[in-house]
Amino acid sequence: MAETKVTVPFRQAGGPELKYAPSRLKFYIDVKRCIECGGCEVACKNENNVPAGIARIRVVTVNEGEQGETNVAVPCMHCSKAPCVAVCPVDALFHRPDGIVALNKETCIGCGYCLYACPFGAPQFPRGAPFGARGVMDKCTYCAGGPEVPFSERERRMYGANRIAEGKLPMCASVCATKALVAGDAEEVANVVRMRMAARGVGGGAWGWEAAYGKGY
Amino acid sequence: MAGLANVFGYGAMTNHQNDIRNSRAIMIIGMNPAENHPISMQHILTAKETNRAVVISVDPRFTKTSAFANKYVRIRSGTDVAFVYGLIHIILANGWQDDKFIQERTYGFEEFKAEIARYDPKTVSDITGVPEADLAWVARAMAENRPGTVIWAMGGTQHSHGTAIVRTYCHLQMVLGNMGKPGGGCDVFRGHDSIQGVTDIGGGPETLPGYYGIGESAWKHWSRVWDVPYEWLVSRFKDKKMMEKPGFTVSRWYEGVLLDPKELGQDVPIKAVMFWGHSTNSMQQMDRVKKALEKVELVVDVDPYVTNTAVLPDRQDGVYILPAATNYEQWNSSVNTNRDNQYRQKVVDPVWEARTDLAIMVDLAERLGFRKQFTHNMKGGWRGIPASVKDVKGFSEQTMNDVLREINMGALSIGYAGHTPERLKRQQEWAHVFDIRTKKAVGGPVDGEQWGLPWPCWTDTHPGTPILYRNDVPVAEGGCGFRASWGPKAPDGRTLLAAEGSAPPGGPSGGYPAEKDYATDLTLGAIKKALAEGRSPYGNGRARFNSWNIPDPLPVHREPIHSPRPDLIVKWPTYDDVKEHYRVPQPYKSMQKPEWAKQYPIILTTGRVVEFEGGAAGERSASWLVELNPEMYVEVHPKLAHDHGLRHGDWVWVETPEDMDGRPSRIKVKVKVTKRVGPDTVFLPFHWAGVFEGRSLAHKYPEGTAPLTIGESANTVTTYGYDRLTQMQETKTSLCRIKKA
Amino acid sequence: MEPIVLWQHKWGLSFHIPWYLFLGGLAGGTMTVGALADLLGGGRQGFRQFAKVAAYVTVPAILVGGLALSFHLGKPERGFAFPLFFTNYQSWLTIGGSVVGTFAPLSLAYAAAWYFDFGRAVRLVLAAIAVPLGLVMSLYTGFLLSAAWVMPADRWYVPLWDRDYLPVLFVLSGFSTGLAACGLAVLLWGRLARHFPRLGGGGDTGTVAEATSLADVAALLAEGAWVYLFLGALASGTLGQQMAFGLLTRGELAPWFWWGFVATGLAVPMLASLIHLVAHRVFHVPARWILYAKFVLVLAGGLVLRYTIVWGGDLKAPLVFPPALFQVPTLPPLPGLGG
Ligand SMILES: Nc1nc2c(c(=O)[nH]1)N[C@H]1C(S)=C(S)[C@@H](COP(=O)(O)OP(=O)(O)OC[C@H]3O[C@@H](n4cnc5c(=O)[nH]c(N)nc54)[C@H](O)[C@@H]3O)O[C@H]1N2
Ligand SMILES: Nc1nc2c(c(=O)[nH]1)N[C@H]1C(S)=C(S)[C@@H](COP(=O)(O)OP(=O)(O)OC[C@H]3O[C@@H](n4cnc5c(=O)[nH]c(N)nc54)[C@H](O)[C@@H]3O)O[C@H]1N2
Ligand code: SF4
Ligand code: SF4
Ligand code: SF4
Ligand code: SF4
Ligand code: SF4
Ligand SMILES: [Mo]
Repeated sequence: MAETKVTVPFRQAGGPELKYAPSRLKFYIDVKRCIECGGCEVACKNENNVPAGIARIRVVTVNEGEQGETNVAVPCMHCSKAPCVAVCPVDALFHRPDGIVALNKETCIGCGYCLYACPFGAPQFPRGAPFGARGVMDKCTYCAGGPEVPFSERERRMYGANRIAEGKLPMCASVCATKALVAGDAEEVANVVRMRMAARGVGGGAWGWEAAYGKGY
Repeated sequence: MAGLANVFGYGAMTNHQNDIRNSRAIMIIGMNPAENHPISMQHILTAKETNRAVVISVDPRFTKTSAFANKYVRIRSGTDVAFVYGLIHIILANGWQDDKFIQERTYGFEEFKAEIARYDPKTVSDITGVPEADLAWVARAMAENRPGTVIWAMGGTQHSHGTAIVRTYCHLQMVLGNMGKPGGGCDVFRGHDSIQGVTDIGGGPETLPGYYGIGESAWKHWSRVWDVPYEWLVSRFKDKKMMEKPGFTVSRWYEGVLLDPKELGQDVPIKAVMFWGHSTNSMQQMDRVKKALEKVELVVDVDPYVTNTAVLPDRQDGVYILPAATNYEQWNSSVNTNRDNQYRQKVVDPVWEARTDLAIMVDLAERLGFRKQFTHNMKGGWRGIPASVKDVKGFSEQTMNDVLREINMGALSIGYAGHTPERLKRQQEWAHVFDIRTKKAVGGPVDGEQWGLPWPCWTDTHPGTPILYRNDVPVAEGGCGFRASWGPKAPDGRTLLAAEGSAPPGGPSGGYPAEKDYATDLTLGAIKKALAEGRSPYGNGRARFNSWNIPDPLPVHREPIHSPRPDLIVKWPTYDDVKEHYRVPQPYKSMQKPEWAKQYPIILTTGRVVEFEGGAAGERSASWLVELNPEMYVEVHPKLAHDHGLRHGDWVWVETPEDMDGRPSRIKVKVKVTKRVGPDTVFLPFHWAGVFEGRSLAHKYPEGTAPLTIGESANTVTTYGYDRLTQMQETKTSLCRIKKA
Repeated sequence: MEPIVLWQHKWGLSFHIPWYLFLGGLAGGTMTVGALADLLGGGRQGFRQFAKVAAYVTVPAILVGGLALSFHLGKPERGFAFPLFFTNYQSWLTIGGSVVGTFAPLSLAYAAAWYFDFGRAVRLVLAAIAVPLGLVMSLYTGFLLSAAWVMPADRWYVPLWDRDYLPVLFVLSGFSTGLAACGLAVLLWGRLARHFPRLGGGGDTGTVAEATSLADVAALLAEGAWVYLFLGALASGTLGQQMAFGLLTRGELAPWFWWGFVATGLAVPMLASLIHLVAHRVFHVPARWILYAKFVLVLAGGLVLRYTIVWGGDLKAPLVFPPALFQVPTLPPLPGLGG
């Protein structure tokens, strides 16, 4: 019988340098498993010190209290063809070699353009004065900090934790109560998906970029 | 727990959460693990995926858990006995029962069958509100998918006949022959962190550690363990009679303050109350708790947070708050719902002026003048405690280990001898070698051990017993029969020992009584002798359909004290009044008023949400949790809401009937319109405090200690009603009416 | 499984973006029509006057609009330094930055050319550049929103911001509001000129205003027709677009859209023009106040249009779930027990 297991990327290697990691880091969100416990969201805020009002990952529920009630946790999907990266006027958003869509808060002008481009509404903006949002954008970093000296106080303050550099999984995925939220090396994640799909049959509840936007949406 | 104990012998979850991965049917009844045991959903969903297990959710509410069920059954709160009996009725009618199991390993099936006859699907459907078709579906699903497990928690127990309900769950599994099997069992999920441990070491007022009771023999056993003269122990009490008389329970202690001593089971009222990690907004009839807190002379709250206890009573002095350290600030071991014992490191020293519970306890003992006896025991006592513990914040790991060793030494009845600190610590180091499905270690120094050495873990070489009553593996590998707690013969002369051919391999082939003195022989001689002969020290008995020694030997459906069905009260009334139970009078019939159904037509049930725990003083002070669940509310079905002219977010008064204090109580909360509840029921989460009947108590919190969210406590309106045996509060079923505020 | 709709609010929360879109579009409009009048008017008095006023109106419009744009940024200081920061040339925000960056000085120069009278030749050269740039300016406000234009895989996620219709809509609205603004300005100009002769011009502002009003009617007709096509496209579009259509025509935004834009900004002004025409030509009453009212209404309508479109952007294309997976084991009915 297929047992699902999550493999931690770079465990063996450890250490901050990611150069050797060829494949892309991915999320997989299993709508057949997410129980809307909110663990991911709370853990994220705690680990990354996210200010109130900002959710780098949030859990959406449809048909609450009725047959077909379904939950899905929505972080930044770190899209391969990332619309946010395409529209950002100042290239504050960019792909890291390992596929993480990173943000540079030094150059971000806080225009909010990425928010409208993003399919998942991942970019977040500090709620501000009567004159609308203030400050720069914040979004899920895949717990990989930002373009600063890894583990520096500055990085922690601006971007939160850098677990990837520590060889750890993103916080949200590692606390996930039901392993609905799986993160890691695209290959490994694909294996998890495959195993679950095999156990369940067609479809399988994998949920991400492609599934989320059936053609024409 | 009492329910399980009276049927099988041990009051604990029989299998373990990981074992649910082996189930082919999972009946979740009266429990909402998606919110209350999130991690367990991993196992439930894995079983659903890999075994195609049928998941059935039986609940008055369509919970987050129900969302994952193949079948959801909406049941009227407080009618589980009827529901389960209905299933058994159908199972017997179709001959789906496991006759071999029943014949070899159970007692009292004949009279049980006779009782079942009264619960035909039609009657049951009328009582429970469950369509006959659904009863048939569930019965068949359970019968066709074995092994199956039945999982419950508070939805089953928080009733005036909760013990009876729990016993029927057990009986269902006995009829299906699902006991003592991987993937089967009666999997009650315990609540708090280490609550199983608390029960094991005698948290209740009716027993010393290890369920020895509080009779003379029990005291003598422990006086030997503690190495203090029995006479000295007696001298601490008014007299031997009071020493052996069960005290008050947490659910009704306040009556000991409020009632006239003439009505009490002791000649003086309670003068002081000490809360040690317990909130008061979790206590039913909180309006009475408030009165008691105002009347009692001394109130002490030992807690990391300032709880409801400090702000609820209207009094100026006599309330003392002792800041306690959390489990992260002290060395400790805990026992979870699987009966797994786990070792836990101290993470940080106690912060600010907080002290560990043990430090406070020893300090108290010192000031009361019996520190020596308190920390002393046969092996010499707890080491690592300074000469004077004044202002000492906490003790060393060594002390914690010695406390644990003392339990190892004494709690033999439930096989605690094997949980030595050394083994637990080693398991912690080798956690990665344990298999997720069986919890068994593969290789390493812990090879063959079960994770957490689930009790009974008879000796320091025994692997532990992950699945209770499993008689297809040798005792040495965690096998055992049902516990022979009630001797070899029942009063009616029928045998209570398992039939020939039904015993763990490697020992006698049939039933046998408990090994003499196995629970009191501190040398472990008796236990080792039994093991050597392949016998389970506690014997090999039978599970009881008929528990002759407790009220309702055969469980009977009894309408909740606050029943919405006057007609059914006539046919299925509650118990007769009880003059004294745990030192307080416990009326039943005289408290069950049919006319209430007219004035208070809506069923009120209460429970939990994932963000908060119990009284939630701590959780409600955590910004990120509060962000997710900012304010107190009542769940109301759209129809009910619209009939009352209510919209999502409106304020309402929820009012419940007068009980002991002769006046209705009410709370002002916001409406959450949702189809989770049916049109006949409303649901209140019980975690909030800091507002009482519309009045904010915020100003009463010491500077800067008020939680981020305060709100009305559900228990301000929960009403009278307590379990006949355990005195568990009937917080799952009451009646109310709602008024737009 | 019904789709999840993620609502998001940002631009709609403050006045900056709607006002920028309004003023930017308007400035583009005034600039274009003004310059056109200048080029094609052959130096006739009326046209010159119109062009001059238009040039004057453009300047404050684009300046205020530009400021609004800069100050919606979380970091305006970085925004001002856009030539240094804006490095992503496929982003419409970058393109827009440059457009505004060239448009503003040009409009200034053109206005200056009128005020200090650089001479016709110079002015016409500027006008010649101004016409296309003005168009781009209005167009761009539309593209800014339908930015998904550069999206990979040819998808965009704010269904209301249809890249095929929005830009043109904003151009037409730019014209209508631009003309209205000029018309209004011309009328006011006339009054002012009477008090301050040194402003020069004056002349028969009435006829100019009336001509402007008629031109505006044309613009309004075109705009109305385009809106009709736009709605049609939404209604027959993807699930997301149908939701957007609902939001606009039936949902929370309906009152704003129907009363605030269609009625105030299109229908009533056209009616007003008709009435004014009849009043003036048939009954020979000047009834200027009707023109005043009409121009104001057109402007108001244009502003509301921007607001509704921006607010409508809060609706994201719905996410869809894969179909349910676990087969519920179905059990055949039991004899005698039903079900
Ligand atoms: N997040 C969180 N988790 C917790 C706790 C917490 O406070 N917060 N508390 C812990 C503790 S102490 C405990 S004991 C457990 C309790 O765990 P649960 O028992 O799961 O918790 P409840 O929500 O009280 O009750 C469960 C369900 O019983 C249903 N119910 C009510 N009446 C009836 C009935 O008559 N019959 C049936 N079949 N169902 C009924 C309710 O609708 C509710 O959905 O949770 C533990 N886990
Ligand atoms: N209406 C209604 N009422 C209910 C229930 C219901 O379902 N409905 N459920 C009932 C049930 S099952 C239960 S178990 C109770 C739960 O109710 P409580 O037992 O009151 O649950 P908690 O609030 O978790 O209490 C734990 C307290 O201990 C404190 N604490 C935490 N760690 C430590 C520590 O290390 N040391 C010390 N000294 N204190 C610590 C916490 O801050 C908290 O205040 O509620 C009961 N009440
Ligand atoms: S922000 Fe949005 S678009 Fe950009 S990578 Fe994340 S999910 Fe994709
Ligand atoms: S908000 Fe920041 S990250 Fe987003 S598009 Fe604007 S500049 Fe780029
Ligand atoms: S990956 Fe890290 S930052 Fe992103 S949602 Fe998860 S925890 Fe938050
Ligand atoms: S932790 Fe996992 S199960 Fe819980 S909400 Fe997040 S994704 Fe869902
Ligand atoms: S809160 Fe703690 S005990 Fe409860 S499920 Fe989560 S991890 Fe387990
Ligand atoms: Mo509990």
